[in-house]
Amino acid sequence: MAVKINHLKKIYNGKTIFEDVNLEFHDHRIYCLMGTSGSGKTTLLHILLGLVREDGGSVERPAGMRWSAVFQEDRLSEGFSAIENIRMVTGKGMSKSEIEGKLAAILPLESLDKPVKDLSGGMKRRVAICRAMLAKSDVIIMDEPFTGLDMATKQKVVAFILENLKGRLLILSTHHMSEVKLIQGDIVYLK
Amino acid sequence: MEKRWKKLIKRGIVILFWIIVWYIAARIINKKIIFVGPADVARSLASQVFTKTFWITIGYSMSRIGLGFMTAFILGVIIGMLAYRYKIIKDLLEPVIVLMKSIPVASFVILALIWIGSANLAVLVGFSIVFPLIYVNTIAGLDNADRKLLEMAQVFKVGGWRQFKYIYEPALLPFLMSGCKTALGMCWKSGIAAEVIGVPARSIGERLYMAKIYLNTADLFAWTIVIIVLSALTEKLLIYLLSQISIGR
Repeated sequence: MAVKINHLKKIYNGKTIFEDVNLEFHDHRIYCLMGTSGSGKTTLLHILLGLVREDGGSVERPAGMRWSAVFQEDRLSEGFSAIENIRMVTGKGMSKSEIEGKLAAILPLESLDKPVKDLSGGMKRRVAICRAMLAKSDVIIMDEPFTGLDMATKQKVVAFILENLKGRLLILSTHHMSEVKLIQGDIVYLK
Repeated sequence: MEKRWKKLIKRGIVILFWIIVWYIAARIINKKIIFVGPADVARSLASQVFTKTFWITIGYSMSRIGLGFMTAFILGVIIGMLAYRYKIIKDLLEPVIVLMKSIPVASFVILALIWIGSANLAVLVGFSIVFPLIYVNTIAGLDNADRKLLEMAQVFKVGGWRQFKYIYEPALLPFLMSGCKTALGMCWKSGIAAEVIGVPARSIGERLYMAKIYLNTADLFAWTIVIIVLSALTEKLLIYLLSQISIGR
């Protein structure tokens, strides 16, 4: 077992977002976190990433576990190219041509050297997904990663994710059952 | 290209308009001790521009003012970064920066004249004007770094140098550019003012002082134009160099 959530509780502005959440995420698996809007999916993912503190309960994760993520927003450095945005997280671990080769699977070749600010919303999303996949990590978190992508692109991106997952744990949030089917993940409901 | 020409022509027309206004004003006032026309200033400039002394004077003042600016710029950025990182440094420097920003240039020039004499007065005065501006702009630029990108960097464990390159530097550069524009103009103004008070030999300040003593208004105007041109050229050069940092990505 990779990550375990015990009796997790979060209060925001005096309102309980969720309480007594108990979940287990196992290695080499894909989990699709579902729930109504406001059920706290993003908050839960942020707690897992260590960006938000829980108000009760605990998250058990092995020491030294490495994380990568696709946030609800793309969070790219807009003045830099897609390749440079990925180099930001990979460092010298990957060569420019290796990154180029990976990106070319889901993005047009001519877009790779352009500053990210000149790319469309859907292209930026794909750069953010590629960044999470290529970073050295043990767990990948994705918060509604397919927003703004059409069905054909979603299929291409899902194929890319599965090819580059390499046995890592993937937890993603989504509102769409079609996306769960596409990525063939286990559903986890957040009530 | 056509747009650029149009812009240049437009600018030329504006300059020509003000030269005509200047010419008419000089004709109306008609007292060369108080106000000289563009022709007299052009004559004064033409008589000096081909002399060795003219360029030695420019070299002297430029090197002092430039040294003051560059030292303040480099230290302002480095200490600004340290103050952003370590709050204790920011707190310690706070009163010094407030003092540097509020002390009248004239008082500081006289103090500096007592401390270091006139030869390098413009270096110290320029430094005292530029340092707080660059320091404050560096902190403001770093503060402006995108919080969400910093969170992302925290999750991906992006190292310090890469965080600076990809997140802090793009946030810092616009602040540094705008700080430099203001600081450089002020550095020239205060540096020359310091030279006029300290009158170091072979400086632009000395030439202005002499023009005042001999009531040579044409020379005064000519040297003022030289200062404006030098200030504009050095500003363009600096902005070009800074923009190369962002283009070099």
